Amino acid sequence: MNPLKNLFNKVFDATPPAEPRADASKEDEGFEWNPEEETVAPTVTNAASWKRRGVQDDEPVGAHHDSSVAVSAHSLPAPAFEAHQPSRLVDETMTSGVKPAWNQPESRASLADTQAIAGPVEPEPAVAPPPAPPRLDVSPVPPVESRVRPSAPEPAVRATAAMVVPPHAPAAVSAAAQPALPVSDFEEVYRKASIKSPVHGYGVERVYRLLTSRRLSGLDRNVRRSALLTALDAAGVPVSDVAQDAVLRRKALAAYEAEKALELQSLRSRNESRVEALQDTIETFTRQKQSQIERLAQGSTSAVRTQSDLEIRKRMEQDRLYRSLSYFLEPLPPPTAFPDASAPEHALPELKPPSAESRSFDTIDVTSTAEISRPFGRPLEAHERGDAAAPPPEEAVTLTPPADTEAETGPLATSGLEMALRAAAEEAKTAGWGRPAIAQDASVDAVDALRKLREAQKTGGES
Amino acid sequence: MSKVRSLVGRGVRLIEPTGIADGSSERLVEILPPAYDAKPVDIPPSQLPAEIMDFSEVYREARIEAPAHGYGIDKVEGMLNHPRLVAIRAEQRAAAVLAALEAAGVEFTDVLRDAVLRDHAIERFALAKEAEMQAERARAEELVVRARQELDSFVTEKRAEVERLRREIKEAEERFAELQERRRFEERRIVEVSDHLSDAAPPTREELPLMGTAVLRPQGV
Repeated sequence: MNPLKNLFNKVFDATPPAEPRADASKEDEGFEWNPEEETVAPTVTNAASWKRRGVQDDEPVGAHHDSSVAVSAHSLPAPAFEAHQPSRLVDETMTSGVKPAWNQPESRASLADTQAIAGPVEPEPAVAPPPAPPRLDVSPVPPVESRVRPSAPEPAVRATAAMVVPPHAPAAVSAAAQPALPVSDFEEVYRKASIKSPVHGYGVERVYRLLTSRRLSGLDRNVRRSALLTALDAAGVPVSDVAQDAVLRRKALAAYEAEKALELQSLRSRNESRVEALQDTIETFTRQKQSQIERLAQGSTSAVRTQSDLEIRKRMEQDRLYRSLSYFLEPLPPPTAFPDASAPEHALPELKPPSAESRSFDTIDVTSTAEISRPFGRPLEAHERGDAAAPPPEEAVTLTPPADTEAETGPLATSGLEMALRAAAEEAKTAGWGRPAIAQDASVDAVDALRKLREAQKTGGES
Repeated sequence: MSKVRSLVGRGVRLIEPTGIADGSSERLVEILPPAYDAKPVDIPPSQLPAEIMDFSEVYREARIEAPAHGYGIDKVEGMLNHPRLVAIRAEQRAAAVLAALEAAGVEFTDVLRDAVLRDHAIERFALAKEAEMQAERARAEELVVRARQELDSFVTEKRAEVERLRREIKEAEERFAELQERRRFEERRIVEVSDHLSDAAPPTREELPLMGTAVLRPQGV
């Protein structure tokens, strides 16, 4: 017997080593690997092959199960169900905390999302994961002793199965809960690259499934290689076909990734240019607006300054007018300051002559109204000095308009008022009044002082 | 209130020194506001700028002219500051000017009216300019507020767009990284198959030859 076939039988356990067959021609009979059932069966002419004609091996597992396939599967040797042992790659990916790409829903929609790399930001299209491979044969598990166990560590396998299957679940359910073998999510990429599986069906995908089948996954590499080569040989598949398929697929992958990298680069370049342009725009607009704001603020400040300057010039001009007038004029006291006509003349206090030095012509202190009532530092009149021989002052002349102001401003006893004011000012100064230089209040203070003085004198006369 | 207004507001007393030489007496003449407070002419708002330095234009615009006899407040001021009088005492100067006015047959009320009219004109001009300035400030402040709002709105909008573009880049990079990961996984599968077809010892995982792996680095790093 062919030693390879022995090895093959030993590995796959599906059929016990056959008795030496009389028909030597059957030695050359082909074997066929059924990845769905994970069994190897001789290609019997009468038996329906698990593989349908015209169906590529890289179609999703379980996508083409129909009743005929089921019937044909029943004709195959009963497969042995064991707890699934994930492939080494998958295990490593999972233990490293990274979800395997092929097991992610979005990764299954290979083209949809990979082509959307350069596209706008949109939610990834939800694509239903490929259905789990239905188990066609749920026949009872054969006795463990009758099977050849793989060399994979058993406890790990048990642990994995325990995690997947509830303890009360029947064995068939636990078998059905096994995760699907990884299906390449680059099929669309390969299809677009015009890569087709070889006509005999043994492409990279099928060979990979064979290698990662639970029967082979735990075995030594050389054993697996031998099994693979045997299977290929038995199927009449040249190794170069598979190798060629592998090379083509790798090239397609590289080209696809390069294309996507270019797309990404293009997107990045385009977006960054746009970002740069936008930032320039923001900067320009900000500068422009800030300049406008600054100009407006400056205009406002300038207007205020101009107004302030105008105010200063206005005051200077008004001062000029005032200075010229004040050579000749003095303001009339407010009407409330008029002396009471009934007050006796002799009740006024004796006046003291004000000092001429205390008056300044250019800066008139209006708080002491009585003092400045004689402008230009004119000397005291003779009657103010108590000189009885001196002639009395001339009467005050009032220039009034011809109309209706007669009642409002009658002739005043100017000298009497002046004297009273002087006395009040003296009194107020003694009392410390009139210190604040408020022109409007000064005369009022003087009037108050005068009234108080008169009241005091009246009270003294009565007593 | 201006100084002139505070001086003449309630009426004034004109001091006419008489006999200054012997200091004997003086004549006091009261002049009440109706005598000099002329009603200001109604004129349109001033067209003069606030920066004007010479108020004569303001007076001209307010149609204030010197009295017909020529003795207005300006002339009186000129007389007071005349070099011939500048050396003597103030009251003597005033007496001299009053004497000159009397000689010219000029009533001091005319001078006073002229001064008051000018004071009015200046005051009115300044008030008008202040109102203009306030309006200008209000307009400028409104424009500033509007410009700030425009700026904020524009910057917010553009920054949102910048953010969106950057987010697009980031998400595309993430998707590409994910694609690379999946491609690595796929390539490992293929390499694993190839390894079993050849006699050579399989490379370690780190040595797995990846064909044409694109290396994209973020720009500016």
